[in-house]
Amino acid sequence: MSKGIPSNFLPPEIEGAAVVADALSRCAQRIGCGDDAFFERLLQGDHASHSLLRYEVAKRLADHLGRLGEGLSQVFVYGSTMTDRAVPCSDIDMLVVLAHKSDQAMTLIGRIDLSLSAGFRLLLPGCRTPDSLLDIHLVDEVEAKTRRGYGAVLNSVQASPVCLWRTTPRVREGLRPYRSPSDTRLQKQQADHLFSR
Amino acid sequence: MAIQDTNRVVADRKVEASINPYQMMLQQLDLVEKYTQIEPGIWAVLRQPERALEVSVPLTRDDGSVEVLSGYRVQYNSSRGPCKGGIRYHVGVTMDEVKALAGWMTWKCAVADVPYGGGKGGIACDPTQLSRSELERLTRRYTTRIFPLIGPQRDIPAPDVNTNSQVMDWIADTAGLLAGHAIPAIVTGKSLECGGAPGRTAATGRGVTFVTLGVLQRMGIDVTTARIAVQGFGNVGSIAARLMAEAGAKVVAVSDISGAYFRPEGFNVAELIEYVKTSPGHLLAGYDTSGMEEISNDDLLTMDVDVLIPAALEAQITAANAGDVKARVIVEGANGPTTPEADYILGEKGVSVVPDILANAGGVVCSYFEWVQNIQCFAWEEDETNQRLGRIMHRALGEVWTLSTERDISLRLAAFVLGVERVAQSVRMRGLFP
Repeated sequence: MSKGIPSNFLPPEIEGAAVVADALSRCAQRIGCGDDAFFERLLQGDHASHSLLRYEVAKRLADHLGRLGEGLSQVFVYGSTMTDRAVPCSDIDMLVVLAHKSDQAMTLIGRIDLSLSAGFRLLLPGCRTPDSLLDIHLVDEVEAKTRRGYGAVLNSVQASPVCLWRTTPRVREGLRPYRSPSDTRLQKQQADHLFSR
Repeated sequence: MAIQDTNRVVADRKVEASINPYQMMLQQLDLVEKYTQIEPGIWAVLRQPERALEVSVPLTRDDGSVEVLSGYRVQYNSSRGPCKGGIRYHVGVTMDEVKALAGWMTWKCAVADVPYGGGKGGIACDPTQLSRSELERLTRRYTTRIFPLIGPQRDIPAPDVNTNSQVMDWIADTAGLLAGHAIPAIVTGKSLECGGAPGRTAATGRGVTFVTLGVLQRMGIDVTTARIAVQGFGNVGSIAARLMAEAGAKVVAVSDISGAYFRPEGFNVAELIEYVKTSPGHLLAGYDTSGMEEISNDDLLTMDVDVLIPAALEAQITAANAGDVKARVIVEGANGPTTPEADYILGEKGVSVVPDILANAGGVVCSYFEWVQNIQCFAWEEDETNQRLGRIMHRALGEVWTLSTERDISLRLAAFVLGVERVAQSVRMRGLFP
């Protein structure tokens, strides 16, 4: 956007094109071929290459999300990314386990999806790309524990999700005390009650 | 294109995979849909602009050469009233950006509950490369191109990025010449001499103040004990700081591009403003008073205060510093000061963020007042304007706050939901003709 960007149009901090470029280079290194050769594999629709690229993007995304504080506990990837069956139009199936499925979390994931999708389109010219690169589902900790909703995928033998990031005691150390949204709601309700008197 | 070339392209930073802003707006509407009960047919109407006009704007440069630039005007939705939205001059202006911003204005006007729809316009140009006379010719030519669309009861432009009251005066003059009579109500943000309204300049900062006072009240914080940090000491920040100080709050930290400054006892903001009027570059640098120390921008943003008012640039509160923010509430005086990552972190920390769409709506409310006065051919006194502004801002805050509590959503989403639902209701009541 030109300038004076309202909040609704602020891009995420993670730069989609830079992430995809970095992932592409890393994939080429892992396979032991040059960048151009790896790109050729993608153009030819090689499933393993497409899965590998998506895995590398997912890893980078998980690292980015993991830096966002104590509300996040785990990030998983599953589906064709992990089964070497990805095709050019495949998206990346991911689960994010967090304390609270806030609208801010949903907005953030949506913006990251737009950014990564745009990066894919820019850096894979000539290759068919998905309209939406990410298929991310948010799972709160209750759903994760009780395996309800998309929490059920966590135990799925078929889906076999792989954990890309999880919070550890070292990560939690030094983070600010967590304040649950229900506390904030209660405070707001109390404030409303006081204000209306 | 091989990967090496694309990597060079990315590294060059001249071509970035930028997100289409119109897609971002549609994505946000997808989220709003989860929290509303709006019929699919009405959603289909809300997702598209009513009119989108692209025009060519030939410009004769001072050296005699002719350049043809692209201009745009989009009327997103007029179900609540004539469209309202600024005109921006920037090299990055595109049709999708103008459509997205016109949509944004639709929701913004609805949140403030002023009887306007949303519109936006712009010219893809670099105004810093244009002389004053070139700018005037560009503006007048653009006005003739969009003239069939604009009018006091149709679409009312206003200043935006790189346009100001002079540009609005040129637009009003050109429109009057084309129509054969004066049409002061065709634009807002005009100079006072040409029908502009007193109080307009301070309106955004005043609106931020009203919202801040309302939030403090709702959070049970006595304004006389409240500590405020204001980032940015321009039109919005300085006015908000002055008014908060006049209300009894302590403005303990301020900043501009010259630096950030802290004074535990609070600044004499009126004195600061007087200093800035005559200081080199009109900056805070060089101001000195007892008990004051220079701090970093990050220190200001993470200071232990009750209210943080970012009133400078976008993307100031990020994932890097959001975790350290100690303010209990953030009131977004600027557009987009909080990144999506920071917004998530602040939400998890329980920090209330009053979004820009509400907090800085004072400007569009005062634009409405200017339009009303032009139509009435009757000028109000400034204090009458300020009182009416206060009532509207307080009411808007109350409605957004209540919706946020009732539906357990952030203030940002609540403002969006409120705006969209109001527009949807207008569309519903009007029906579809034929």
